[in-house]
Amino acid sequence: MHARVSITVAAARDEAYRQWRDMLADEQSGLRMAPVEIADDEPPNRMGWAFADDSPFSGTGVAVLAEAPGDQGVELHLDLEWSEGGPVGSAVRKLTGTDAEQEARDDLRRFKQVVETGEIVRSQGTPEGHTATRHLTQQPAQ
Amino acid sequence: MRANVWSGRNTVQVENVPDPQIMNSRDAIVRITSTAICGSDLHLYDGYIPTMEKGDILGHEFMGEVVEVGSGVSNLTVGDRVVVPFPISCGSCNRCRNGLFSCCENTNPNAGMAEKMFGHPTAGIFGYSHLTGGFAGGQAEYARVPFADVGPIKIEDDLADEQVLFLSDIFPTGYMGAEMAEPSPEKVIAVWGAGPVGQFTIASAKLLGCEQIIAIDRFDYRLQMARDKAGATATINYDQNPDVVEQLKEMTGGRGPDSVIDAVGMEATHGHAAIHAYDRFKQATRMESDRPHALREAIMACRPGGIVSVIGVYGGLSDKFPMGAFMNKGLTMRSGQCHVHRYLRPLLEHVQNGDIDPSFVITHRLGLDQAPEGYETFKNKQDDCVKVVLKP
Repeated sequence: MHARVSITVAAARDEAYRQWRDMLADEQSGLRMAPVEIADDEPPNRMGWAFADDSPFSGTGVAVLAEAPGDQGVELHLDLEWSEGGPVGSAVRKLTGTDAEQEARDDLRRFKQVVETGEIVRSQGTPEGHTATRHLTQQPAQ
Repeated sequence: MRANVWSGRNTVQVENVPDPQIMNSRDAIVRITSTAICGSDLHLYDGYIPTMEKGDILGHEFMGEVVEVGSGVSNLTVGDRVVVPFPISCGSCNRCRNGLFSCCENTNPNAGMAEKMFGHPTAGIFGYSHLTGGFAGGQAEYARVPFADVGPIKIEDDLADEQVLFLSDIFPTGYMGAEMAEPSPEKVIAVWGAGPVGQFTIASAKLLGCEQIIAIDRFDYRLQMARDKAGATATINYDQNPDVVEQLKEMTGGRGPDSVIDAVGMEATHGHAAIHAYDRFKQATRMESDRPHALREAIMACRPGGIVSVIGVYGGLSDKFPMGAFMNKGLTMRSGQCHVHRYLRPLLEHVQNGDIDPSFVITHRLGLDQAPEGYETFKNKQDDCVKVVLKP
């Protein structure tokens, strides 16, 4: 499987690079794809890594950072390759929000929140912060 | 604590629920002293906004006293009196930095849901479904306020709750609707809907220098408030004569209004029973989510080159949108959930200066436990209801 996902973050490129690198390496960072070992490090433009065999991604990832137009900060582009069972398993994971592409999108939102606001934003309905799997099982907002 | 929760279509009830907790370092907990029922709460009550869960605490118009602050909040202290804007905004993303606070990119923990509906996520909103984040609302004794260092405005003088409560939503919403219509003394502005937001749209158009404001509604008592309190110079009751477009032309020498404002949104009614029934049926069977009678009429009525300002709330898809009229007349449309944060300070100054007393819209004052009665009265326009304020 292959997916490309991206997000724009209001931060300087070297700062965004440093934080993405730190979060990716830290199991406690809140990123689904963490921890990984960075294999290919070209600050502040590009990094590459291989996921561990027991990761839901179990493949490779590349992050490319590019300046956004104007003063909007930096664009983070992820390119992910992974192998993922048969078509049935893949469809089920897509429906339940546990496929690698949706988890990568969750990670980008969490990363953006941490860089721009300092932490992962939580609500009573989604107390763990943005998670595609939670969309189907919301808690009452109280 | 006691809180008013959504329990299904046309049902709200006041229940005991857990007290709110600090969940992020930039949170505050506010003890609510006044809260209100918004016209957009009726869209939730009527079951037209998806992603509600039984037990959700409603309410996005509230104010009160700070009783606890997170470690990241340094601008507020316990005891401060604050009004809380209904959109939750981080203040640091590109949208917030450009003043588009209701389009904040970070505050909706269900951004993925919103993105599927709208193409992009929008800000978290208190008590307004899980599509806007799943945040508990303010029709309660206490509320958790995220990004308390960005949103709430301190009220440091002796203005009554009722004079400042509506800074949370309906006054800025009406003001933004009027501002987008570019009011000036020589322009005629027509406002669809003389509910609470419509009243503030009219009052704001007047504050911004407009001298000819036409209010359109089907209830005489609301049109009377628009004339006597808000500043409308003429009114149209479409229940008496449903041909609003012709009446507006007649009132403007055949030109039509220069700017038109939709302060109605997705549950509009139409003076012709058959036309109303058509959209009502499609909405009830989920073939369209919104009944855009007011918007269609506004576009048809607007003079060529004019502005269509939309502050009435829409949730999804509208049928029979008059794109031909919109395009061929060269109209401009502006819209949005209100970027309340922008307007808090200047509108508070208007209240402090005595330019406006927003409490003029209040017709009903109830205890929090009477919230279910308040919803019914407001929904059915009983007892000349315009605005219900709840006191926890």
